[in-house]
Amino acid sequence: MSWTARPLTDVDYYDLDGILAEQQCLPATFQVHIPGMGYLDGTEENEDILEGTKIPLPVWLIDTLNTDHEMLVETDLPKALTEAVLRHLRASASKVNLQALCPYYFMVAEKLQHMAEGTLPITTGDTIAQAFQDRLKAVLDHTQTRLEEHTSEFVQGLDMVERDILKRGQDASLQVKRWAMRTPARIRRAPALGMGDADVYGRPARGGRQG
Amino acid sequence: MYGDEALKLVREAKRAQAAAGSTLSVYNETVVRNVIKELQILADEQSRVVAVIQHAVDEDPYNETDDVMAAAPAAYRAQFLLHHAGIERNKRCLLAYHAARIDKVRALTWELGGAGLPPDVARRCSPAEARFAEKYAELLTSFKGVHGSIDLTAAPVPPKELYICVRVVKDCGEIFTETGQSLVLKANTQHFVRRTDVERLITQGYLVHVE
Repeated sequence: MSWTARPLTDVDYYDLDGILAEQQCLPATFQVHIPGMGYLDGTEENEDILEGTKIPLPVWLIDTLNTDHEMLVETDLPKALTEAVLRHLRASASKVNLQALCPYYFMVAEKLQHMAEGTLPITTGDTIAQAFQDRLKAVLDHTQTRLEEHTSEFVQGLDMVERDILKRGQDASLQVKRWAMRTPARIRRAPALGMGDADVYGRPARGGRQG
Repeated sequence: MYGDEALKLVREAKRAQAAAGSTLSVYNETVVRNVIKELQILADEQSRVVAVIQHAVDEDPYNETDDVMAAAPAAYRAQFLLHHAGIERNKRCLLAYHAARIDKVRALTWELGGAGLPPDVARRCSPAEARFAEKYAELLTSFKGVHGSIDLTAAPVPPKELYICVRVVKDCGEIFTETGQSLVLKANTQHFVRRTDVERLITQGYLVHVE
């Protein structure tokens, strides 16, 4: 793959999800001999990295090693973006467990799409975009009809971006429900104070949303 | 791999962000110190690598350029970049962790209307964060003063009635109402009071608005 890094904006730099997403490892083959850095493979066996050594490296590391001037490592697709998985996505997108494959599936795919432009098959981007749309229909359906569901198999299979959408959708639906039932607008204790020690009647705090 | 320790901080910050109604977690001094240690080790290694590169380039009879990095042998360039990546990664994780916490402190201060942090939250801050919280609360209060006729931090709930029923959760002692009367707010008593007098106390958790 060729590799072009995109400079980070301020917002991206501090983004916790972005940091976690870049931890995704790709299979990498070193193009140079590097003495003394053998410990990167996680074992104590090798003193040096030899030309042709294969070590899985996180995206953030590859980002620095490969520049416009030279590619110190050759990279391969992660398992999550191989043809086999893409076939599954084309067949029935909502059934694929993305969380297990790569918790930040769409963010990683987008990053690699940009960096490895021209090397990923053209159809990969389209397939993943289509899969996102298909899954989104199911996610949005959940936000309207299953407002308390947090741990079903479907939800387990969602990646972090989809989970965020689901949560916000569920919160929004609950608010609409409360408004429709004309739940009186009570001034609330600041959510920042957390659950607190006990409720009004002295009962201990439980998890869940406040009135 | 470099940055594994620092990732712990990012994961912790992410968890705190995701939990509903969450408040500040304890400042993870131990892990922060470990990350700084790792940074120091990497920086020391890096100085050594730089010295080696400079020496190699100086000794090279065929070198005509001033660009040290371009003239250096690939192996040294690789070493440099590997350490550099590790340093940048650790730095980014540290900054994101602290930034997320400071954002939380800011949000808490707004929610509590410019009052300082409650003691149980302040206990979980680092000394620097506690100082920030104090200063920020002062800043917010003077900012509110500029717009004297509007309370910028009032509860964002449109008022439905003039008088409301409240139950006292935490003892507040004696307060003075707008009309000049005094009220004794003892724990577990219930009062029918003017909304504007007690809004702030409800937000801060001393009283609860009941129906």
